[in-house]
Amino acid sequence: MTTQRVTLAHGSGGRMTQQLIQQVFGARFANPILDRMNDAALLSSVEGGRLAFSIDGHVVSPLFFPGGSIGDIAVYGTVNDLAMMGARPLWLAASFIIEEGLPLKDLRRIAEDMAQAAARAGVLLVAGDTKVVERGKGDGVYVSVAGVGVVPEGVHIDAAHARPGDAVLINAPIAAHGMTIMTLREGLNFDADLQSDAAPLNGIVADLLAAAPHVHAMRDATRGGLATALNELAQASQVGILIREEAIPVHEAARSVCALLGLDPLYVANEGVFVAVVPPEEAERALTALRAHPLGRSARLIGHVTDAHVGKVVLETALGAKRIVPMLSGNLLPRIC
Amino acid sequence: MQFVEAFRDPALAKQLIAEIHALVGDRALAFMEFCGGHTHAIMQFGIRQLMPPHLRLLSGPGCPVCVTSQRDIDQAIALSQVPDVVLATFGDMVRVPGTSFTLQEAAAEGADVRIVYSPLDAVEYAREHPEKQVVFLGVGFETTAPGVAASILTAHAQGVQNYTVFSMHKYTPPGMRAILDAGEVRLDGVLGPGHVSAIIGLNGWRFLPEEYGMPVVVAGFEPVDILLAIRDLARLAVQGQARAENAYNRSVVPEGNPAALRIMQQVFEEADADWRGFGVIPRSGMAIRPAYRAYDAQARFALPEVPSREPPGCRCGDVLRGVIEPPECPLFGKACTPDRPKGPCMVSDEGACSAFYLYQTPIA
Amino acid sequence: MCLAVPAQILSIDGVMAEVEFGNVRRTISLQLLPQAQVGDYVLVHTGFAISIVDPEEAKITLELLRQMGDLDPLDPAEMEPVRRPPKPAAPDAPAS
Repeated sequence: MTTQRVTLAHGSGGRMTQQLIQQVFGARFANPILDRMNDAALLSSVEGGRLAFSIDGHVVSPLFFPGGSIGDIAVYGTVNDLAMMGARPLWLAASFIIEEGLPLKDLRRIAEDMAQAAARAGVLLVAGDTKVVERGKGDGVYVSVAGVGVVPEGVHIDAAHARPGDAVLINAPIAAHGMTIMTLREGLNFDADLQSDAAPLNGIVADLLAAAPHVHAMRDATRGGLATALNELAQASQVGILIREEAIPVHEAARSVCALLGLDPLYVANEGVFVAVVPPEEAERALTALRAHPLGRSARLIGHVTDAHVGKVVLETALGAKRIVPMLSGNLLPRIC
Repeated sequence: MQFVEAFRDPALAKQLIAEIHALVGDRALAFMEFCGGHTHAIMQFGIRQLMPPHLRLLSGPGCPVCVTSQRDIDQAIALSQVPDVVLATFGDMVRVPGTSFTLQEAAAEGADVRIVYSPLDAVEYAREHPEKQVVFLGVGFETTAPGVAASILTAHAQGVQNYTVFSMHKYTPPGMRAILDAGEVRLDGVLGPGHVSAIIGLNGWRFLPEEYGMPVVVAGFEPVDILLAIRDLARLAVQGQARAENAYNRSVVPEGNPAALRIMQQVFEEADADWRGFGVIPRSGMAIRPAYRAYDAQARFALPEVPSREPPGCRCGDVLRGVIEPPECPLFGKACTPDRPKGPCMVSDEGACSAFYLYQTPIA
Repeated sequence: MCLAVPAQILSIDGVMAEVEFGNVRRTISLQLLPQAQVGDYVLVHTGFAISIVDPEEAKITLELLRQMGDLDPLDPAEMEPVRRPPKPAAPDAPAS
């Protein structure tokens, strides 16, 4: 291709589309399923388990940021959704809506990031699609990724399975990803030691389940942060969740920027953080397993499930007072007061 | 910064809480704070729950967004819809409901609304985009106004001609006087806003003991800061002593910040201002002086007369005057929640209604 | 308007200073605090230093607090009787 940017012709379905797919994506994602370039991927039957299926769309701006890119979070987002059900992620399909004018080198870099992310997560990209929209009608590129995984027999993880007495564990410090993105925005730029925590969680989840096979529920703390993930669990399971402020690990630089902007770290998005709700007799083993994994070195017990304040999450502050932690209303906005 | 971390020490906090209980016992006392930051901190740390049974911490008109009149909000939103205008604002204003919609909704309809951390960022944006008209929403009391004044001086010095400020700034003491003069609330003490005090100094509050016989203690924002000030205020109230004291002396001195005051006074002059809940309070607002007319959005733009109407049933005004607590508003928790706020007091963390909703909702 | 955080000045260039808070740095203006110097701690609000933060005063306050922790809590019975200062009549004031 002689052009340096994606043009509308690349989306026409003709020769230029083929070239784009082969040279940007095909070269990086080569595998026996994708290489057949059929209209649909033919997958082998899956023995001994139920299927888990998920989809995630990614609209992040900027496309590249410290610690990753839209490519990484596109792969990890779906891999992690599957892992949260205890599924072993297997196959991904990706759709790219590309804005006319996106530099090809950016697209190649995104594809490269996705290939590496997929390899790190141990999944195959088996189907894909590209479309091109007019300049001004997209933010560089939007990526949607659907994924299929298999949940082994005997694993029954569900947001509705939390029970009073269960321990609530977290694997890593919160707020790094969201604050990384926010500080890249015009008018809010701070020079901070911040990078996205984007990571595939299927490996650490596998280790967790090996040590604590009766995990009741898991949730990754993406949009809306830890507060939202816990509220979703409390509502789905119709239980209360009590967490201790002192126990929640917060990324240091993110905490500082949050203080400057008046944001609560509990609501900041993450891309490598999840909570696990485990029966009390398995809590210690679970914590040990998390800490043994590189993505869980800072794992903590942050609270418990209770039968009080059903459907609500309550935080015990450092002073011993209790307050409700609601779901995020509206979007996260900096304040000066 | 270890010396700041120490003001979060739970052991010191618990000690102060015990002292407050010992001092106050069963007495009925009411202290009012005048700072959205205090409203938020008291909520965040759960301080109300830890107070003696009849010690009430009231939230006064210290949230600058909450006391902004409906008309001002509507005009700010209208400004955002003027072609080529880029409206730069602090995040606090973005979800406040105007008569028809919020700034955020106006942005969804095509208005160019940008959140900035500093008014200087807005000046820089104006410099880099000479084809646009950058209008900065000036909201805030004496902590914020000097910086906005400085941004006008900076624009002037740099020859930036497309930067204006829509000033809705207000002075804090007139709001305090209005509450005390109205006599609707029995108060035993005032928790002084720590960062306004960094600018106007402890001296800015001497009128409270001298003219109203009211004790005032200037407070910082960490848990130990707030509890220390409450303890000192409790001691003054119980002993019947009307004095002005400073419990935030690492950041506040008697004379405040003279350079900031000078710059604020250079750019702004006193004007009558309309406060939600109070109507017009004479000489309580900051208007841009004629010398800086070129940076005054109200001079540059013919602001449309928008028919302004406060939401029917909304009692933000009464909440701001301390006359009712949020749950006494008929809309509280039903038609008006943080997800679907009707008035500014519910919009964000520093509003009294939002703070009430989040932690006073009974925890079963 | 209250959200101000303490930061340390790392360097000064004219009226602008580079400050550090936690491990975050930003360039802010000293227009409102021209007397500030490198090494000072300052309160930063919306991109301006608005006041010096004095570590010595902080230490004194903390010391006093810690000392008081060793004393017996104040006995309300030892307080002087309440003399209410003059204030406007409030219709619902309970009997003091």
